[in-house]
Amino acid sequence: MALSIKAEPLFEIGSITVTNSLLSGALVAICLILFFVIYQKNLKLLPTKFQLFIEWVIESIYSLCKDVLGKESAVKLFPIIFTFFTFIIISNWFGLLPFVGSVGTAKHSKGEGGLHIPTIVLGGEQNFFEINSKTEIKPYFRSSSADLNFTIALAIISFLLIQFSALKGAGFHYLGKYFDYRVKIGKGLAMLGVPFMFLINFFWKTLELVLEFSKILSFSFRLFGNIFAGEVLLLVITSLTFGLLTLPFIGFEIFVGFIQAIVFIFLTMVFIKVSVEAH
Amino acid sequence: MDLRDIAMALAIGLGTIGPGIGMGLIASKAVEAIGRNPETEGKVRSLMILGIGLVEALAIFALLIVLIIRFL
Repeated sequence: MALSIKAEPLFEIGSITVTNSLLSGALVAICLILFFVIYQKNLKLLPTKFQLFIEWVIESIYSLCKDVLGKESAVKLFPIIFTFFTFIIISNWFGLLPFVGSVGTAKHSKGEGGLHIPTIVLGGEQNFFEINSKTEIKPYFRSSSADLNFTIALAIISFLLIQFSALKGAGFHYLGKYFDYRVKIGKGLAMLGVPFMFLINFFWKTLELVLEFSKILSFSFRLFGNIFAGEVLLLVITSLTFGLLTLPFIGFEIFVGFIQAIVFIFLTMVFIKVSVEAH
Repeated sequence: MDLRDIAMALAIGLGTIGPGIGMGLIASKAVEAIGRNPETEGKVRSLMILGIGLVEALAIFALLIVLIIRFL
């Protein structure tokens, strides 16, 4: 497992550089689309156990959606919420598969290529950080959630979803939350106080605007940090315990991947609810 | 020892104090709520996990700083 914070570029199509996390993200997306198309074709009136399981998953996400958003907006927003959920959770779990991050090419300082399965060098001068700095390891697949580009893209989509549904729900009043600098003139306010209050309003609303955009940052870094930290954790534990204690931590990472997917959709829904209800 | 190593250790060490306290508060309050009102266990548990997920993000930010110090 290479420990680099960036995704490694594999090859180029035209001007687009295809990185390994882009590749695995595309793979996950194609697999999900194929799975749900085939699943939809094979729906039966008397459900099999597998169909029951998928229905149970959809049902529980839908009931969560309904609890937070209320029934009307839940019906409208459920498809995109569920897409977020499945895509994020499968991307998180994809990084735990055996071949992801471990099979790839390695370029030693001599310049040799070829299939390489990185092993953790114990003792001696090398530790696992130095493997990365001395040799260039390019895994063919990398968990797409462990790439900041992927999580920022998801966060921007979620941010746009929040803004659009707020604009749709509250109309132009919603923009007043950020651009309405008007001062309410009451009894206690002297005329001298008006410019002062205007300034305060200006700073306050601008702060609100900045706060709104910081949602993108917190969404993306939360997902990226958790999954990338999970990869680092697995690597460190493997090197410390000679691979004996890795299994419980993989279980923990499965749990973390699930929780992060839930947190992502839950926060998206809560923000939608709050921004619609504010006016 | 490099000064950067000390910076990394301090960043993650100090950065996890706050989230640790926060997580403890969330869990203790959740247990208290379940103890007072056992039939709400499912709801309280999901809210608790959500809160822990939010607080955990802060610790993750500290970890991110460590990674930035290490790699950039």
